[in-house]
Amino acid sequence: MELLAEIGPWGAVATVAGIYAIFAMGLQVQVGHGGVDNFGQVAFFLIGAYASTILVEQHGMGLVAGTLAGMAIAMVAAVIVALPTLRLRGDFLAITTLAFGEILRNVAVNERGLTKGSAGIDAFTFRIDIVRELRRSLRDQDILVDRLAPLLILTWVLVLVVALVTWLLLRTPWGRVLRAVREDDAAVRALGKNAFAYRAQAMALGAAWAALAGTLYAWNQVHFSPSGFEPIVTFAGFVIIIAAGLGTIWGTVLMAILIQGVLIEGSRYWLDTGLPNAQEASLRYMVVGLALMLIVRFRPQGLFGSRAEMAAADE
Amino acid sequence: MSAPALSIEQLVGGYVVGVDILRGIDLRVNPCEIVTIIGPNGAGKSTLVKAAFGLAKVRTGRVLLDGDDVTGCRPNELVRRGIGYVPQRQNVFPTLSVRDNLMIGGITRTELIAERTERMFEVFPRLKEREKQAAGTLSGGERQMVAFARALMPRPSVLLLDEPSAGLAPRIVGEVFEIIQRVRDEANVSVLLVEQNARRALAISDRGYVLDQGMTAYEGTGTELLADPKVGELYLGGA
Amino acid sequence: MDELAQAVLNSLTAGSLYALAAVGLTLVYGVLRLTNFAHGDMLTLGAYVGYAINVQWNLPLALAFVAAPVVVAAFAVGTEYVVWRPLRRAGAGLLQKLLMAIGLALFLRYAIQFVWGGDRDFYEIDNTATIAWVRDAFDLTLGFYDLLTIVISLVVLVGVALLLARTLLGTSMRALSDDVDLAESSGVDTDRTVVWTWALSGALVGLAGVLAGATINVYPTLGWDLLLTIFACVIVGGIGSAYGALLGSYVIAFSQEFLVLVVDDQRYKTTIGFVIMVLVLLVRPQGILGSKRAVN
Ligand SMILES: Nc1ncnc2c1ncn2[C@@H]1O[C@H](COP(=O)(O)OP(=O)(O)OP(=O)(O)O)[C@@H](O)[C@H]1O
Ligand SMILES: [Mg+2]
Repeated sequence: MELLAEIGPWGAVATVAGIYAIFAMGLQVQVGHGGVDNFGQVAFFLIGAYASTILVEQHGMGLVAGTLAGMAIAMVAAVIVALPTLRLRGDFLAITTLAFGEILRNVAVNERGLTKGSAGIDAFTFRIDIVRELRRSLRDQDILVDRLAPLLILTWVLVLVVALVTWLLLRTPWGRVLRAVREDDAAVRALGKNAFAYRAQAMALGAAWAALAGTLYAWNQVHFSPSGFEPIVTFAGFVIIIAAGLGTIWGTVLMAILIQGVLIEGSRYWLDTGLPNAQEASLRYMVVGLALMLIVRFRPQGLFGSRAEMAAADE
Repeated sequence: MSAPALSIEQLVGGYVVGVDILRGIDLRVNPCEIVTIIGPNGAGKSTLVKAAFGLAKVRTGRVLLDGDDVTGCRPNELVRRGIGYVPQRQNVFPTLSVRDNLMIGGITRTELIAERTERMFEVFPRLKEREKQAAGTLSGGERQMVAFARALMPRPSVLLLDEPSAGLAPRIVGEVFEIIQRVRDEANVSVLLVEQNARRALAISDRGYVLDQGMTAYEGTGTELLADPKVGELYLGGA
Repeated sequence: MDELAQAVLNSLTAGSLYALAAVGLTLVYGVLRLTNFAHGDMLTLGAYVGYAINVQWNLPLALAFVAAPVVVAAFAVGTEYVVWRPLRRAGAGLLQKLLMAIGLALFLRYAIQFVWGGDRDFYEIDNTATIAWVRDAFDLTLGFYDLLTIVISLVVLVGVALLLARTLLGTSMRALSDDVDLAESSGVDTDRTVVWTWALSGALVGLAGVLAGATINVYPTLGWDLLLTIFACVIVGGIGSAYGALLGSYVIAFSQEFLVLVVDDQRYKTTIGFVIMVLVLLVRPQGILGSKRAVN
């Protein structure tokens, strides 16, 4: 019997799209619901990837424990970043969070003792311990599975879990106050709620999702280095949530598939420009930049959002 | 009779579509007149002046300058055509020196800047003493002088003044009204004045209008309005 | 001679380069309240104009000191017409402007990479040449292009200071920074002033690009890598203030060169700049010379 015996290149693309769906969901919580214009979301992605990898590979922690620890560390980091910066005006917040991401990437490059620097670090426990064992035991029962299939399935299960949890959280009283905070700080303060605390919590929740995505990224890459954590990762997340529409949950998942999957990762399989690879890659990101500009200019509410969301984001 | 310096005909408009603050206003300022608009807070006085100056939207109606239709012109075009505007608040450039404030005022008639700056320093000698000082550091009265002088730089034919005496010490308020009269007499300029200090303003005005909820409630000469018992009771805070 | 004296020279060079870029960024912020994330990539464009002239067409680099400012200024003015003015007219909010700038930055950077490739390139100049008398008299290294950076920056920025202080255009720019509405009401042609502000900002950062190309080298993320440092300069000096940007540039350059001696790790230079910026934002968001008005 064959079960996803050969998932092919699109399977790999789908895994990356799922990772970005989780990553962007975190950004959606922060920007779309908390009104925090975090331009350094990649920092928490980096924390998730490195923390879980270091804990699992170097300190023998279990995969699940390592993943959760990565998310916890990212949440703490998010609160620490939030404390001083959330009081800043919008564009200063953007610059500081962007700088935070760059500082962490700098640290990852320079602190070789911890991160092995630009040479990169291995995260093969998942691929070896879980996937290889799983395939071996399935093969004994005559079931063939692609070696990339388990992570693909795990990622998309987690996408659904993350989307569902986010969706539910936003429907609790907590979620309703968070929305109110974004629309009008003053009114919320009048109700005796601490607007700042709600924003910090949104920041932390978003960071946890980013860290989870980071861990999945590490497992998918097996070997990764600081160059995978450039600001462009955050910006890809922004393209996804803006195209989907601020505030939308399921739209974010769909846009992650279309933008990160079909457009950025997948275009090499369906688009043949006849250009050399490097030039084709440049072209892809030119399109991403252009798409962002066009959406911001002509459809700031995104495909599924309402115009009011973008306006409220400016309060 | 020559055309009014400024006339507003059947003006309807405001800031956002669907909310008309001004609901059909007729008003005229003859050459070299001082005309005052009074009325309660929120009546639309500032909005009327802004609409005349292209800063608020005119939905229907016209604004005529010297008989020419200037409805919807951009402010810098109106300055070039001879209107000067002194807004109610924040009417100087705080980090610019007094001299630079005047220079900006003259920007539509650069050939006049040197001569007019000297003239303004004659009219307002206090400003000459402070010409290098940042306008934001001046006293309220001095700032009002900078704002007047800036608006007078390009030799306007009409001056729109929005509550020039607001927030000034009582001693200086009198000075401001004297300046307005002097400017009118010497520079041959017509003045449209919005004032909270209704009695004093009407006292120096040729004519006046009472604005209430976006409409003209009364109009007449300054003396008529001051003498009208209804106006006195409703808009001048009793006798 | 000694490490400290050498650090002073290095700071002067770096600060002069930062200042050229920072003044343009802060002017655009002052006049438009726009945080231009594409500013760094405009610097890269300037560096590649130098590369095209000097390496691809084999012409003297001196030409680039004229061509790069012109090309980048034209690009900047183009963005005003195509991108920024329509966005302002549409009443865009802060997040929209920030993302538009990011989109523009990405587009420009990858367009550059599309045309010139992703590798590091060098101008065909002898950038190991040093000033002999500095070496002989003080035993310090001052590269020829370092000295050029200091001199050009000094001359150009004095020119900019005169423009801002003495001319109608410069005064109009300051007036717009103070209060756009009042400037408009005073008869200033604000659209025209904004266009000139972009031209000036582009010209300055284009020039900085050629100098960066000569003293560092040329690669597609050259400007982006400098951008956060330039933000640091602008914010430390006080965003919106041209003199602040100048002062902030030297503050950041000196802090980087000297603190790096303390940390004893050259690779943390950029990080030091960011950390100082963040500290300033927390303690005094209007910076050393900025006005509270500009940050509200
Ligand atoms: N920029 C604006 N956008 C929308 N509405 C405005 C704006 N400025 C004023 N309004 C509204 O227009 C109405 C008239 O305001 P306006 O400033 O013209 O009154 P005013 O007569 O000048 O009052 P005051 O004596 O307080 O200066 C008010 O209801 C006010 O809320
Ligand atoms: Mg008013």
